[in-house]
Amino acid sequence: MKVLKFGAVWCSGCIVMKPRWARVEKENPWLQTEYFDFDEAKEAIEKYEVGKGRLPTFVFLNKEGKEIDRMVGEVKEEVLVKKIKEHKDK
Amino acid sequence: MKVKGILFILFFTLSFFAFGGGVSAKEESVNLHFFYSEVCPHCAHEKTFLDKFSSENEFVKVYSYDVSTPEAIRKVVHAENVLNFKHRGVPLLIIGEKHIVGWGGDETTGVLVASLVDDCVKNGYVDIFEENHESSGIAKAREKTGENKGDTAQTEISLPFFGKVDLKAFSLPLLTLVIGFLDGFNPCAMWVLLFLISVLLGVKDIKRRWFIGVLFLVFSAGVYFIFLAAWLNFFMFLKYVVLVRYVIGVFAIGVGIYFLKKFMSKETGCQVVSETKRERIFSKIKNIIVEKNMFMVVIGTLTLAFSVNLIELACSAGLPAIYTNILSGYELSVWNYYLYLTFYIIIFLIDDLIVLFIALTTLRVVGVEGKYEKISKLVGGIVILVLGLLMVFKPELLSFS
Repeated sequence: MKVLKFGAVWCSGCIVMKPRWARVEKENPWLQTEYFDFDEAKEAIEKYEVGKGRLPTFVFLNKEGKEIDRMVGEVKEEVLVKKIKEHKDK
Repeated sequence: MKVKGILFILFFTLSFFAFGGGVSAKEESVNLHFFYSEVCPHCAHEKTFLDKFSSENEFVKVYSYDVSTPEAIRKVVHAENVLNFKHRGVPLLIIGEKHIVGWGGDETTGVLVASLVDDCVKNGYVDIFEENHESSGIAKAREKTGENKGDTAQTEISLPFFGKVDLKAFSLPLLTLVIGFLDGFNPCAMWVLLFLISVLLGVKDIKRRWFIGVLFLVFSAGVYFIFLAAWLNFFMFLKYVVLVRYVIGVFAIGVGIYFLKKFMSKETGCQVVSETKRERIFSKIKNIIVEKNMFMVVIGTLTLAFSVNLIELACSAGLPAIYTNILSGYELSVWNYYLYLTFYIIIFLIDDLIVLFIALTTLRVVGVEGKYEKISKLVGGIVILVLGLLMVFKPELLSFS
């Protein structure tokens, strides 16, 4: 499972989520994540259809690279951890 | 908690605007001088009350004057000079040395009128329009007590926890504080500040970092002040057009409901700002950061502040329009109006200054969590909804002078 994180420097929600993700990734070293800046990663934005929604957006991909889930906005750390554990083996 | 919180805030806000009183009158002749306009609906309501009041109290005599006549104008000017007030609207009622502008209804202004008449009977009465009246006596009395005897009475209310509060001294500053603070949490331009901070954090020169950051906020405040002043002058110009008040009131009700809807919504995070807007602002910010000529940095920052306010005008017009519309209904001197606007701007800036200060000091951005915006939507929604309802149904309760 891999998580794609879409954010922007001008988005307050993204700034709030940054330290939460840092803690989650530290506690789950097996977790693969990749960050995309909304103003720079045009291709990824278009591919995962993030452009018209809200930020931050977190796209969960399974082993085959297919999207299995998505979260948007400020997410509580415990909810994030629960979601990651739910999709861990996918 | 949500329901109790909403009910408490609603009770506090409504009791803040409440008036009360009740009196009786004794027999002694009292002249009421009533100034009206044919096109003024409140004048018609007050006339109905005064006709009934004078028929129930034979000692009360009502003299009515249409303000479009020269006689009425002469009398108003005389009253302004003697009682030291500035006539701002109709209906206007002169009872002895007191004057009342506006009509709130039988339960509010009607009670006040009866109280003042009763006071005249008990404590003595001076008709300033009688030929032998002692205007110098009134001035001397005013000097002795140090207060303007032309002021209307009954502006004290009792609030839970706070006890007796004089609304004249308290309400407008508090209203300015509340709305200015709520407006400060407006997310419309926050994205620009955050981008600016993110770029500034990459600037090695600490003094330059602070200079540009603070300058941007100062210029933003200045431009916003100009917009507020424009709104205020617009509403002052249209002060006697009742329709404007109703339109703003209905707008305020809509804004209040929208804010409460946003509070109830589970949506978090940032709405993606349009690419055109972003690119325009980002390129301005990047140019400022790399510019070596400090004069050009100042000009660039001013241009940025102006652009941001203009771009976000539609998004951020609600609260300023509502506040300046209410402010325009108060009888204040010119410099007082602008003092209140300045106070509004200072309160408005506080949260941005805190975010900037912490960011540039700790190199981390804090205090931008969505929960603060949610709380401001709840409180703001209730306050604005109540203000909107008052503007439409009980506008006289918003004018305390």
